[in-house]
Amino acid sequence: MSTHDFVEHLFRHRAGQITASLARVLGFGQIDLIEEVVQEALYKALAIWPYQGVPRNPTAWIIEAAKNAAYDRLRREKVWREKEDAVRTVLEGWADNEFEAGAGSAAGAGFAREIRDDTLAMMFTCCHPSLSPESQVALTLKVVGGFSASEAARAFLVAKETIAQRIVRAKRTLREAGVSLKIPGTDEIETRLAPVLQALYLMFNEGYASWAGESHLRRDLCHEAIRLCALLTEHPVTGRPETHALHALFLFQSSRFDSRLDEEGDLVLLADQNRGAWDRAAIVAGAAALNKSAAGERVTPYHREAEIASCHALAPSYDETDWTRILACFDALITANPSPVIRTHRMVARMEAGDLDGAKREEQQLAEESSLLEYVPFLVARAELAERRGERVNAAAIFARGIERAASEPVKRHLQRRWARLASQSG
Amino acid sequence: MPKYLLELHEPPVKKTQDISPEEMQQMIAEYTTWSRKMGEAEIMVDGWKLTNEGGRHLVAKGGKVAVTDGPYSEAKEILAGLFLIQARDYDHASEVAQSCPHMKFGRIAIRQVDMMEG
Repeated sequence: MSTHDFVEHLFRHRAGQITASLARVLGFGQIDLIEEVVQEALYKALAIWPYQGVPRNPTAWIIEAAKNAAYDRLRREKVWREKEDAVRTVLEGWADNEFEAGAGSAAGAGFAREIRDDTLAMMFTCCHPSLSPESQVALTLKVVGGFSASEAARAFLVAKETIAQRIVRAKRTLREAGVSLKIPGTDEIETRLAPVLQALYLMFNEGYASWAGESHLRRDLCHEAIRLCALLTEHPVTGRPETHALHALFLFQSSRFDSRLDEEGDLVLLADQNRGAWDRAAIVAGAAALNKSAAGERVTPYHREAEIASCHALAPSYDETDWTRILACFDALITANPSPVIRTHRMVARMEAGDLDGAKREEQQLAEESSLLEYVPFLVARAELAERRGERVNAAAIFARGIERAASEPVKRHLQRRWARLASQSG
Repeated sequence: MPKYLLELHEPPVKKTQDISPEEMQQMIAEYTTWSRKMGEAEIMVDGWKLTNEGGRHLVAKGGKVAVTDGPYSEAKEILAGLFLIQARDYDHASEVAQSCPHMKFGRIAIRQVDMMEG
């Protein structure tokens, strides 16, 4: 009996790839049946592998199982029968490739490109402009990423039914619109790529910035966003400067993923993190991606955010952070999009750059934004600024408000510690 | 050392259950990790998955053999798989069976293989 190990997330990734390849020949209209076929193939592995061990080539095994499940549909579904040759070509081509062509061979590389392009085409469909950003993310996670509705719901901390509904409605919208699966041409790539990048940005951010939801699932969200972004960078049409910039941003941020909580699960601020523990490989890859992003004429918000992230990732210590450059990036971001959230971040950057008066002015302007009243990062920034300006009572009061509003435990505990320290000092 | 047959009833999950690819992979990994550990301890001898249909039932009646579908399909009970292990005694075999991840999903029956001495 074989006890061969298999690659992490293999089922998830293969589920997405087989779905995308079958959808290319059968059309998005058949998506539910295709997902059934894939689920059946994986289920068969679950019924057999526990007893007989993981086969030497798990993918080849899954493809064989998918073939059986798909050929069963060929007998029963008219649409499938009409596309029989194409369905057989896809699955048998895949099986042949797994058994014969090595990863290094030309045929193997060609096949890998084909699979990648099917995945990319599916991403453009899932992020079709007719769908809302929330639906785009949910559908991409489900169809391309192989997440279940329940996993996506747990990562986003929303009800499973909400995600399931989003997915069902999004599929219906796409079916009714008769959206075809293809990577857009160079003439429309800019407008079609924007929602895809935005969906990946939201996916990554949900995994990275929220402390709610299950931590392994949040990490998976980040990894999935990075994996899909990397796929986009490899294709000649989709590998545009803004794609590389987003990839760089993800890589820089992900280098600190594990350094942001200590062993007790308490928040460790950027200033206090052990920089030696940051993922060097991710930072190096991020720097390479940032270089590639400089190829075009246009500087997108992703470029600015990646540059800010690079300043943090590349600074030898917190004190040596290039705040001037970070502030310039924030100024540019705010010129393009004067969002109160970005201005909150600039307020923090001003404070860190030592410009307490500038930060105070920004705070006073931002205090008029009703959307920020409940926004915990703004409360934290205000409390921090008050503390640095020696206004301890005021700072403690604002921390207390932050504690009431903090949605996640690590943030709440962090604010409680800050508050307690101030209270003991002023008492 | 005596050999025991572990009969694993019920597959890990029902087909209709909402289970994600990742969860399936995790479950398989739990079983294979366990199997490997048992193999390293020289407990595990072999494992088989049985086909899902109930099999055939053979009964000799008046010089004729009657072949019918196995009892399992009717009873809606599925014998999902078998492990052959070697253990010191029934207590040891039960201990091994209890450590099997299958105990989270289904039921295990243990039978000692009768090996005639000499």
